Amino acid sequence: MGAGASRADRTSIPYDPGDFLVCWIVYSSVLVRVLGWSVLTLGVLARTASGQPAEPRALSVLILPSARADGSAIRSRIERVAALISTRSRGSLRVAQHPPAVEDGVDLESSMRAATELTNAGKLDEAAATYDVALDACIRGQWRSTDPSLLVRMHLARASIALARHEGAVADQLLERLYRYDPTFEPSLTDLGPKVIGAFTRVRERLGPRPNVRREELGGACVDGRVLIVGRAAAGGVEILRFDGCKQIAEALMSSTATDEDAVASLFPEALSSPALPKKDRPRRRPKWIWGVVAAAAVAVTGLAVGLGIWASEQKTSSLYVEPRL
Amino acid sequence: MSSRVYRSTSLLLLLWASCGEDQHSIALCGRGDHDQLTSALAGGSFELTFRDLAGNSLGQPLTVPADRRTKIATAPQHATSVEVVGRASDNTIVAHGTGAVDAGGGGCACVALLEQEKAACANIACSVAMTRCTFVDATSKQAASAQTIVFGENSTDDVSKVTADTKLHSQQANTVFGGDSSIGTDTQPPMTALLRFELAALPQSATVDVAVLAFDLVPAAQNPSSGSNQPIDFFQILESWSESSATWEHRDSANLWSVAGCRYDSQASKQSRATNAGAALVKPATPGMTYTVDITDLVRAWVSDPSSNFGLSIEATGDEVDIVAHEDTTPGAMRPQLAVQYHLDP
Repeated sequence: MGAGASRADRTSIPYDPGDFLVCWIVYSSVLVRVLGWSVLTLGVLARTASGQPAEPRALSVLILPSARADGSAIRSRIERVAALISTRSRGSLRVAQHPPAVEDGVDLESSMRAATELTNAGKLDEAAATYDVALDACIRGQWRSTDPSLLVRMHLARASIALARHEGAVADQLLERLYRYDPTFEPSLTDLGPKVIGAFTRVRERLGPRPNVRREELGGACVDGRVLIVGRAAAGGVEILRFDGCKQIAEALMSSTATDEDAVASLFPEALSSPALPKKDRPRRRPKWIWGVVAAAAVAVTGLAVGLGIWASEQKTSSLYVEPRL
Repeated sequence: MSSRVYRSTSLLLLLWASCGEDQHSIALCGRGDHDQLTSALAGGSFELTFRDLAGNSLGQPLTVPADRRTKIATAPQHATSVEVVGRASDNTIVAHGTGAVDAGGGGCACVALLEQEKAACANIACSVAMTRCTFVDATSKQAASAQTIVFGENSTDDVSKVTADTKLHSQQANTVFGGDSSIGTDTQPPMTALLRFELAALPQSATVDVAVLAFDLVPAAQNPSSGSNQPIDFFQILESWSESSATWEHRDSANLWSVAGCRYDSQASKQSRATNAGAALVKPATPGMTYTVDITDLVRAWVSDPSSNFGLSIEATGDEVDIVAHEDTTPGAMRPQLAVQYHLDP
């Protein structure tokens, strides 16, 4: 084929199977590369779009306010669980502190002092306003205090003023939040009047023994996209709640005997990997046919039990005694 | 192998047990003052009414003797609770209780003297373990612990129609103020406020953990002289008195106070109230606010010896202090309350 051959000449070249094979190999190798790169690119894009960022997600820890004496023990227990979650997630969840230190936040001690003086002077409106500013800052996380029970006392003092001013709804809202913070809270008669205690008791009865934690109780800690571990006191132990994107998706009630591993398993049943079990502890694989035999046996035993139950119930007599134990 | 033998034996035992008589019992567990309950029911009876989930009674009440175990017909189907009425030998109702009935027809009812039922059995569930009654909080299912009962005339108070209050005015020495909507105390002219709560609803066997008296000062708009910023003292009264007839001079329609105005006369060694204040409240300053004062020791004494409960006298040490009385019908006004936190032995 000459260099100056025309287009018409080229199209007129007769079919050569050898040329076609070479062309096909070249064409297909390019196609494979293009396809390969495309798949790789799409994979990376899909991985990014599916919410698996290269950076680890933040895992925040929030301990709800409590006046309990063992508050620090509860805090350390929950922080331990959070650290274990981070470890188990192989770094995909990284513990971030909450609330962050707020240097310019509202100082709760001085707010409480000022509000108490105003109350004692009979200036209830001013006292209520002082409490409201401080409590609002607390909800937003813009506060500082060395005494975690102060928040509880502020809620109670503000509720007490609300009741004095016949603002039952305001008092209920405050006491409800307080109860959701700490379902084990027991108001003391010596510190509070029966009016506050009565209102708190009604809130407790309405919400039941384990009230849920709403978005408003999380305040500034609730950030979309974050995993939030919320801890609060519970009867006989600690309750840990897992929020994902401000939505509660798991909970763990830890008694004093429960381990941190138990809590992590309850909070993250799906994602976190546990260390491989030693070979001797791995579950034995059974042949599939064994399950058929087991099912058949179960049906037979159930049938037998039902039959025996019916027969026994026909045989036996029943009697009822009244036993005074005064 | 031993496991198989164990399982087989268990199955046989179960079969054997199911063929015999199936015994259930309704335990009537007494709570509160046991001795008084037993003596009130001596020779009497219990009347049991079974109810379904909606509270409808199922069949006629069953009557059994109050002092011995009695076999009755099985509990009606669908019974979920039982109401128990205890009658004395003269058929008067002296005790009451309710309890849950389980699916098998057995159950347990907490029973107490009529006036003690709220303190002893409200929100309490019971069961029998090792022949002993045990009581738990019906909501939390935890062992019954400290409870609180509130005496007073507010709609939310637990025990009502128990308050008596009045004021004694030295310049109107024969005027009865028992029906007024406030009780005042002052130094010039001398006035004394009296306040008493009937505590029969609390079992004598109750251990009082803490008792707090709460009251509202009359709002300033209604009485500008309220809110003196001066302490007021609370004394135990040592003589009986009547709300409907007590005056500065008389404690009831027939008798004079040992010391007029329910006071203490150190020179004459006479007294109508205790020498020293049982409690004091510093700076009751804000009209309309609720004030509380711890009177645990006084209430402990009254519960253990009800005959000594003549209530409290309230004496200002400065300007007049006016307290909302139980007769006040102003919407939102809080009438005096006595909240008692107590516990009963299991």
